[in-house]
Amino acid sequence: MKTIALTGNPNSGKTTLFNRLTGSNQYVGNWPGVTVEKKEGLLKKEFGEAVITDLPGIYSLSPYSPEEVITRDYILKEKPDVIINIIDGTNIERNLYLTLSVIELGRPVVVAVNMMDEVNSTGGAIDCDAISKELNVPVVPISARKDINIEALVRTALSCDKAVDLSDKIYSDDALIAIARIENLISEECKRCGLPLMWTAIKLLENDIRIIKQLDLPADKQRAIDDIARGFESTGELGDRETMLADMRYKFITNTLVRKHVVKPVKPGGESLSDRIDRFVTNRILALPIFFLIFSLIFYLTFGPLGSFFSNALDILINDIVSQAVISMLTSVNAKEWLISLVTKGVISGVGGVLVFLPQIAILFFFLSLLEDSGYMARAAFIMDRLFRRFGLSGKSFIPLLMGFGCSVPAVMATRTLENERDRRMTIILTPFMSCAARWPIYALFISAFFEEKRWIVALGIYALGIVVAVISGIVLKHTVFRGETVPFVMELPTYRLPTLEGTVLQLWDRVKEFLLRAGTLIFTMSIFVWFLSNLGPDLTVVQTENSIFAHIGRIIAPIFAPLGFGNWKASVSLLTGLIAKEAVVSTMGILYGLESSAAESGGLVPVIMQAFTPQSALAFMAFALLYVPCVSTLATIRREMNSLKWTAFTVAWQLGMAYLVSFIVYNVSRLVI
Amino acid sequence: MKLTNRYQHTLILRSSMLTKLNGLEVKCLKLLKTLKDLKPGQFGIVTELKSKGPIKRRLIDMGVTPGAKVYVRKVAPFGDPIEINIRGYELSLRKEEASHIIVQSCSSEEGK
Repeated sequence: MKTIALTGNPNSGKTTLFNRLTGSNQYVGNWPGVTVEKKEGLLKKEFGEAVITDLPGIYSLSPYSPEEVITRDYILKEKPDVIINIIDGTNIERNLYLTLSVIELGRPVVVAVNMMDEVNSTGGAIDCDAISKELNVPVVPISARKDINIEALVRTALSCDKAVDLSDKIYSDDALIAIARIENLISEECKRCGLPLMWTAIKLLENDIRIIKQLDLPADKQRAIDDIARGFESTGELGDRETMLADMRYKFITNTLVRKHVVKPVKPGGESLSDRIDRFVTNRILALPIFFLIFSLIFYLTFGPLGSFFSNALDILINDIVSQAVISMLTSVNAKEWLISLVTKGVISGVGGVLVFLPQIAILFFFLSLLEDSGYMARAAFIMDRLFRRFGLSGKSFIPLLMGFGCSVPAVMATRTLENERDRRMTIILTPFMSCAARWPIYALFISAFFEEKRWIVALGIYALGIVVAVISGIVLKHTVFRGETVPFVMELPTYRLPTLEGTVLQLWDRVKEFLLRAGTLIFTMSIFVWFLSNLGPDLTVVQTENSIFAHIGRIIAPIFAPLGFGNWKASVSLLTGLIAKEAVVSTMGILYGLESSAAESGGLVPVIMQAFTPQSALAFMAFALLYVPCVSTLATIRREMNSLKWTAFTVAWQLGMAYLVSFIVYNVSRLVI
Repeated sequence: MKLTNRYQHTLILRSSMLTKLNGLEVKCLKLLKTLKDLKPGQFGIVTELKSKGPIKRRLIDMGVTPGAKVYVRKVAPFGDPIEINIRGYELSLRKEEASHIIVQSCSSEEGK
């Protein structure tokens, strides 16, 4: 089967095209060896047979950003049969820069000029045939959003099999001579590393640190290359090789392609719609009020009446209707009592306890993806950058941190948009302090037990505590571990676009599916595991919970938590199972406190909790639950994204330390106050 | 910091020049400034990048190369970063980065 790779700038409509090409036949898989998930899908049947790989949205193939390295490594190693390079017709000049870099990689390329409908309707024009002649690759005008010309694109891609070489057209004679001389020097090493000769030579001339490292040339050859590069630098006025080569590419784009074959849209009144929206949204005075309004609204809808309504409805469905039905069914077939207990108290309450958050997570992610698709997220980063820099972060950290309120796993993955390692690490460490949706039931339980009349104050307070701890951590880390220069911030502010329902729904479905999968596998297994540990003694016979394996473990670790006010074994064990999933804290408490009613139904737990905790220890417990190490899924993601055991360990240590410290302070201060 | 100081005071280019931008004759001043010193609503032509390493590469890749026309659109609410229009799209960058980009400040009736 043919393999087609999809590349393009961020905001070029790549995801929309991917959805058009694959329909619902997509799956997310792990990229072997690298730290990124790739999205793959089968081409829709009516189009033909091929596997489509969606590569990360990038601006170039520089050696500095992880996503760009991934893309070029993928193309070089996996050698897809053809690459579809999607470019934004309304922003063609910069988009074509990536096109030239992709063509250089030596695979067959088809260029898809997207958003042609928009180009035409604003009075612009792009002569795709002429550009195709200049580039020597097929250029197909499309509109992914309006589903125009997609079939022609696929047909072209499936029949395209020749790679082209544009170097003669792009580079100056001096550059070409330098490239040829480097080629002569490195042909052997290139073959050994399996790299395309010409491309590698260009990269060496550009001083590409990764390629230099990968080739590991003998010192004399490296010196010879440096000499060639110096000679090349002296031929131009710009003075350095990177700028000179980039300049030639841009000159080729402007002089040969854009100036001759593109008519730029005549802007009516000089301002585009985007500019007019931005007059308000990033306005010096209005920006912040609009910002807070948008996010308050989202949080209100997610955790307020709308989200609670759906969660409660689901709760009743699972814990009353389904649970009762299962009990009566099991009773009718004379099932053993322990089996009924395992199924209802273990599985249904464990998995159900997680499922009830599905509506809230879905609502939050629905709004986040709306904001992301519309282009507002970049504005939020633009507005917040100055503020975030004080905490050692960048405006771009805003998006991952915000997603952290939904689920830390996608949030940590979203840090990939930060090109700088230091910013990325810092953001990853701080993201789990944003209270994810799975921690809400813990607060809900304790609030119902102790702070019913101050419900909103305590709830907001706990979320604020997470943010405050993140800010303090940021400031401390900035001046200690991450000391050094501030890193640059360069970010595109994409044109506002109306999100498509289809795109939003597909993205939402991806997240929901992942969540359901987790509930169905990890949480399911864990619930059974917890049930056994809390019902079996060390000799593996059925015992009272008081004598279970869990009780033994819990009694060992409980003293650690004594200074925090909750040094009892049940609380300790709940926190331990919370490592597997934060939702499990409440469901474990349900199982441990041996309730008749279901564990997830917080109402039933309330009286028991009121006996086991004091208001002060409840606050300390909530603070600890908020701040301590996130669940294993998040930890696994952090490990993968950090790509370093040392940094993962540091993250865990930092979070545990903060949790213990803050919880201790909360307990002791509240004892004085309340 | 050294760079900023050096270019804060505008340098004098040898001759004034006329440049064609978007089919429009615009007069570019003899003065060289940093991009940071341009006010919202002003525009200029990039003449040199003083940045180093990854950030330089990133700027180049984003189209901030000598000869490109930049228009400063606005400053963020907290005073940093700035938003510029270059090669037909909107780019935001911090003043720190902008202070390493040398531009020739231009004037024209089509500035906005």
